[in-house]
Amino acid sequence: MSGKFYVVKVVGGQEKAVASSLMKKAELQKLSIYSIIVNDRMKGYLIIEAETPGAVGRLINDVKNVRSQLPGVLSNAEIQSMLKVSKVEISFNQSDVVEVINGPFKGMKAKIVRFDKDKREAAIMLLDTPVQIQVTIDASYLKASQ
Amino acid sequence: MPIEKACRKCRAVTRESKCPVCGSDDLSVNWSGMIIILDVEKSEVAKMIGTKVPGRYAINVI
Repeated sequence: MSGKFYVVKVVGGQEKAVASSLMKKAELQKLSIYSIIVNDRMKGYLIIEAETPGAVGRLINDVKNVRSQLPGVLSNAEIQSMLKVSKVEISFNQSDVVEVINGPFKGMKAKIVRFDKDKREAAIMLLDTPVQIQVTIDASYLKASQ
Repeated sequence: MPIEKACRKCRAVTRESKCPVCGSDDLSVNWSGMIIILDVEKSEVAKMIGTKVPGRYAINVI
């Protein structure tokens, strides 16, 4: 029997933590839960793929930060469009000013010296340091600065 | 604790330096959304994302 997609309301900002708790509970109690989806565009909600609404009820019963189970189900097409990967190509040009969003230089502004699209790496010159330091960094650690 | 990264090839989320699902070392810290697969045989979502391994996956990986 294939599963259906049920929506559960949770405390906003706790979606991933609640999903992890539910995953552990489903494994421990061997509930008929097939998958759990945390969609960042649906703040305060989780989608649970399960055999029956009763299985979802047992799963969320007495779990911290879970509010309620919504009536109705989502269709496979709705889930498919939700999971469609939006390919975001990272591209920077020389002299672009960027902000480091992760790693030891998080929060610093920098200028692109060289960008290697294949390796997704960028050589950057840090702008917030008294001495000019050039470092090579994963391009996913950077975002274009306004 | 090491930061969680997502594999750019199969989207699996891990704290290791290699993807536990496909073995790739092309991991990204820039990912969003999460899919937890519990039953790969019965899950439609597992088929949609093309995985045969239970675990946590990202929806978007940059």
